[in-house]
Amino acid sequence: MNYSKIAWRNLWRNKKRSLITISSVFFGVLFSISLTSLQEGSFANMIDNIVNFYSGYIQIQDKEYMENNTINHSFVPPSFFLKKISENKTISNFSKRLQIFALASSGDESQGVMITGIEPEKENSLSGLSKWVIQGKFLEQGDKGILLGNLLAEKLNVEIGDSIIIIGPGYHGISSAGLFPVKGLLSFPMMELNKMAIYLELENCQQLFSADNRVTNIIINLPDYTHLERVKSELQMDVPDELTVLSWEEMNEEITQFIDGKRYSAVIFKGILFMIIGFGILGTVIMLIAERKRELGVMNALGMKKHRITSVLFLELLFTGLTGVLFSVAVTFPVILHFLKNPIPIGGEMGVAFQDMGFEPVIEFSGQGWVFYKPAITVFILTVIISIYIVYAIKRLKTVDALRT
Amino acid sequence: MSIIEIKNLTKIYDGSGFEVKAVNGINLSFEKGEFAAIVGPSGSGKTTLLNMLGGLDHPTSGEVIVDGQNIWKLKSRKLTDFRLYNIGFVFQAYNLIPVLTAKENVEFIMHLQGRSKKERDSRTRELMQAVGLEERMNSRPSKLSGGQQQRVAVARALASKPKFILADEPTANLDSKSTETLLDIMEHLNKEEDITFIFSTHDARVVKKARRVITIEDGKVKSDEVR
Repeated sequence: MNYSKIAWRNLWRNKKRSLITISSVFFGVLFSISLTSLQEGSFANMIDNIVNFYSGYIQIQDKEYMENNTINHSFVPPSFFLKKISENKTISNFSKRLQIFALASSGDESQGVMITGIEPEKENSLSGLSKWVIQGKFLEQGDKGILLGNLLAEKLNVEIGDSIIIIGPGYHGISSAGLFPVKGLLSFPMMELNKMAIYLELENCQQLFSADNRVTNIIINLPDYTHLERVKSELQMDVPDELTVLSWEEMNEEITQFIDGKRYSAVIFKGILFMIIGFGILGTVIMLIAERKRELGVMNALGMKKHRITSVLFLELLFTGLTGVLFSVAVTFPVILHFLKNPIPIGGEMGVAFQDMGFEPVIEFSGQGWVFYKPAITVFILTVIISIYIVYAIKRLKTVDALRT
Repeated sequence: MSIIEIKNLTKIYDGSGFEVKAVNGINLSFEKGEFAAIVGPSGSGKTTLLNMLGGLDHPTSGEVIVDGQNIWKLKSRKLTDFRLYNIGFVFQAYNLIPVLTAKENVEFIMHLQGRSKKERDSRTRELMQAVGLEERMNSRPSKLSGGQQQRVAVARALASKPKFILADEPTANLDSKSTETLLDIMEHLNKEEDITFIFSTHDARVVKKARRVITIEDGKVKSDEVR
């Protein structure tokens, strides 16, 4: 017969009370896991959208480009540096882009647009751009056609095979203009892109804006964000002085701050929740020690040292927490697994709002291990903190007084 | 040769503005194998004396010497160990651990002593047989009668192979038949295992069985009669 056995049986002496305490842990952890999974899933989706559609995990830019997004801060990528990027085994793929804000017009209609010159094959493996083509065909190397967002096409009143005029500022102030046939229409989950995105083949774009061999960004993708800092510092060692290596967080400070803010408020919220649970457990512990004072005194009288009595009570407390945590994980795990495979689509105005902000209108969940084990660790820390009371109460226990109760 | 010597043992409780001398300078000694009863009216100091003798209640002054060692000179942890290896307790209210079965209650002490499972099993069986409860080994205390619980408590007290057993009013909550059975068992074990039994009681049936009767009044030994 070991102490865990005594602790486990003690746990079920007062079934109602234990179940209430376990339930408080269960609901607390359930809520914490669900909230974290939902929040982290949404953040991951947000980051994924940003990383895949816009920025990649890492970008190489001219040092001035972040502050001043003009073609004058484009650069000619040094071949030795491109070689370094291709040789880096962690980098899954990379692609060059030339991005310029310009004006597109057709007939009487005109619209401000974001022109992106891309290397079709590389861009496609990086951002999966071709999957958003809903009409026409994706670009090929040396293609003279363009792809444009479906809402932009509607606005300009053009279809596949029609041509549009692009007018914009070229490199070093040269005025640029060109006529381009529409090769394909794109429909992104993000409304904003559908309203203003135009894609050209890179060389075609460089010619239009008189920016031979120049690019504004090199987009680099990684298998996942865990490699980000290492690859960034490896690239920083080789990057020419006039260029800079930026992570997606540095390029999207507002989003990073938004995510951090949401995470902090969630931490405060969960902190308050666990504090309430903690006080509930503490109340139970105070009550059970008071109820069992005589029994604890008997144990000590018979020769059980106080630290062993403390261990038995701590184990009982731990079992209470663990049971609640295990039930929570058992309930949340299959539910989250289901939603991982089947994200919840957001319809109506909320969905439109999501699209307007540039995000896919779905509620994603996160199934990362820490989503489950962090609340478990929190409960463990809670039990350790509460066990300070047990140590204190047992240390103060006077055997002879306990026997008289 | 005496195994327990009590020298000038005193316990004073502080009341509000006055002192109560529960035990007042008692001197006693006990030989191995004694079957002794400490008797006296309520409040005479029997339980306080027994508690000090068992290392549970700190005396105001005086010594309790067991096998040449003053137990009150021991640090708290050592004293707990001393109780574990040397003293068996039988309480008035049985005080079995409710979540353990009768067998586990008896084993509990041996488990604390770190004895092997084999040794625990055989000693438990032997003791449960001796107290006549072999059939009820797997019952929880709540399923046993008062008399049966007290018999388990006696088996538990003997499990550690103590030098002596202190029993504080062990028959106070028992009916006549249970009292008789319990006393017979304790007397038998006293003779068989040569273990010293010291009772505090005001039960005439216990006094009748005792071979030594110490009478206490107002915290002092009034008489000490060996039969």
